[in-house]
This record gives sequence, structure tokens and C-alpha cells, in this order.
Amino acid sequence: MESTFKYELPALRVLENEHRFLTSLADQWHAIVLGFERDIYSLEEGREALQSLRRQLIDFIEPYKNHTEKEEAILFPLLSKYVGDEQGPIHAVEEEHEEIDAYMGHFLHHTRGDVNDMSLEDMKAVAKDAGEAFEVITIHFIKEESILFPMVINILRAQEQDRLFDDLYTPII
Amino acid sequence: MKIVIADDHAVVRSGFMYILNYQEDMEVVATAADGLEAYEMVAKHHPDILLMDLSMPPGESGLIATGKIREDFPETKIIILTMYDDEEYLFHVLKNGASGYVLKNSPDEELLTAIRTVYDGGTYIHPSMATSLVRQFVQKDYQEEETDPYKILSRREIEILPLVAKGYGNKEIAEKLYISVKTVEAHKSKMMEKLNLKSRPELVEYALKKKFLNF
Repeated sequence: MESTFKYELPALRVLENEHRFLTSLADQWHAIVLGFERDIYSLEEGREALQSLRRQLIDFIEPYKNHTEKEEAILFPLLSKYVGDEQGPIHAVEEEHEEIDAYMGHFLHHTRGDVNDMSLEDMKAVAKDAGEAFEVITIHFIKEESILFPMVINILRAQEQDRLFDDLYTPII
Repeated sequence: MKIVIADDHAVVRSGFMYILNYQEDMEVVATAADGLEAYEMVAKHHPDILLMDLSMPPGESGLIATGKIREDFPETKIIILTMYDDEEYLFHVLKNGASGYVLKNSPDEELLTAIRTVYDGGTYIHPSMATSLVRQFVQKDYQEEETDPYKILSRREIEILPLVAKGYGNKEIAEKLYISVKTVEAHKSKMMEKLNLKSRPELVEYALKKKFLNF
């Protein structure tokens, strides 16, 4: 059977599956962000949409953090033994994790109060943070899959690849 | 094994997709938001298993799609995912060819067991639904027993029944069976009472239904 996964290596399939899951969740809340960008909401609809966006983003954060914490604790240290983490791809993706956290944190901070006090323009401005988080997440996953994942195949020894799978094979939900 | 998930809720599809892809022996090859799309995805991917939500408004329902998919792609086994632990639904989907019935709020392990059971050629029904299924069969058996003429009527009454239904008079029946007219009258009266029938037309209808009359 031809797999729909790009990577057959078990450790990478675990991460790829997590990327797919997180992407499908992100697609759902990003649809609301696009609604703000396209001005489809009235004031009342916008308030409901913003509350829904906040709820969905909160639901997204737990599995997302479970995923990134695994990468930071298991994958990155293993790869950095060979490529370092002061600069280069590991350093770059770690910085992206921080960038995503910052955008999501910013959005949650600005929507923590009563959204009924916000104008449509305020809501559009706040939703932009969620939109930025989505953009970085999307690029970040592509970058990991096209740069880091091949490194796992090409650089790590078979024994390390097996250990990586054992360590990564924990659910994020 | 290849799996297609059909559910109108994107978040449900995402969750199931993650859980199933987490298993080393399973892979979700496509998802669908309604019955029609489910049919298209099955036609395209020929999965081993289709996980089908029963209620997917406003598209085609899982119930209708189950019948069509089962007919056109018998190699794909269908497991129904539902919020309803209603026996009516269970009987309809089983009748339409589903091989499994799992409640959406079941633990993940149960869903995985259901998928593996059905993939191996078995049938999986949520435990509480299995109980109602057995009860229904027992009731059906009991009801059949209650109306089975061979269980209710005596051998002589069974001989008389088709003759009365065909319009033979008491005297003619008595002559045919070498018994007295009074005995025929007694058997006839007891038989009507046992079957709770009031008239000859009702008896004819009953005799037809129970295949005592052949024309």
C-alpha cells in the first residue's frame, strides 16, 4: 500500500502525524481569521467569531505545546550533537517556536476581557496576531519536514532513530 | 489497513485522524464531510474500513450512504460512529450492511478494537447496544412463538383450520376427518378462541398469512 505519509521512518511518521493533526486544527481557527480579513462579519457576528477563535486557539495550544516540547526535549538535542544549535536549522526552528508562542500569547492577552467593548476594527487588529501565528506555524512545519526530517534519516544512526521513535511515541492529546 | 473517516465535524475528523494514524497498523487515507463525499472517497481509495458518522446534515446521511457503499464496494467494511445508543438506528444500519456500531463518546481503545475486529472479518457492536440487540432477538423469538400456530394449536385444530378457511361446512369437515360434527364445532370454537379470531374472514386472513392456504 502506498502511504499518504511522506516519511516511513517510524519516528518521523509520529511527528508528521502530529503536524497533520495540528494543521487541521489550525485550519479551523484560521478560517475565522480569514473571515475578519475579508470583512464578512457584522459587529455582532465578529464578537461571536472572536470568542470562538479564542476558544479554538486555547484548545489548540495544549497539543501544540505537547508537540513542540517533545521536539525541544528529544529531537533537537539529538540532532544538535551533529549540527550544533548556536546557529543553523535547529536554532532557526527553536526561534520559530518562540515566535509562535509570542503571537498566540499576544492574541490571548488582548482577548482576555469582555469582547463586547471592542469595535470591529479592534477585533480585526487582534485577529491579525492569530493570523501571524498561523503563517509561522505553516512555514515552520514545512521547514521541519523539508530540512530537519531528512537530517534524521541521513545523519542519525539506526540505533538513534529507533531510540528517537521510542521517545517520541507518546500522544499529544 | 487503509481507513476513510466521514464526519461532518472537522474537529472530530481531525481527532480521529490523529488517533488512527498514531497506530502503526492504520492509516487514514481520506476524510469526508458527508455521505456523498464518503462514497467518492471510497470509490477513489478503496479503503479497508470506512468510519461513518450516522448524522451528517445537510449532506447525505450516513444511513443512506452506508447502503449504497455496501452495495457498490462490498470489500470496504463500514463502522458506524454515532451519538445515538438507540436500537432503532442499530437495526437499520446493520440491515444496510454496516459491520460495526461504535458510540462517539466511547474510549479510543474501543474504537481501535472495533476497527481491528471488523478488519479481521468480525462484527463489533458497542456493549450496551449488543445487550439491546440480544433482547430484541429474544423478544422476536418470543413473539414468533406466541403466534406460531404449530405451538398454539393441537394437531386436530391444525387439520381443521385450512378446511374452515376454505369454506367447508362442519358436516363436510366431519366427513373428511371421520369425526362427529359436534367434535368439529368444539375444535373450531377452541381454535378461534386460541387465535383470538372473531369471524371467518379473520380466520382466512390468518390462514393465508401462516401459509395454510395455497391457491
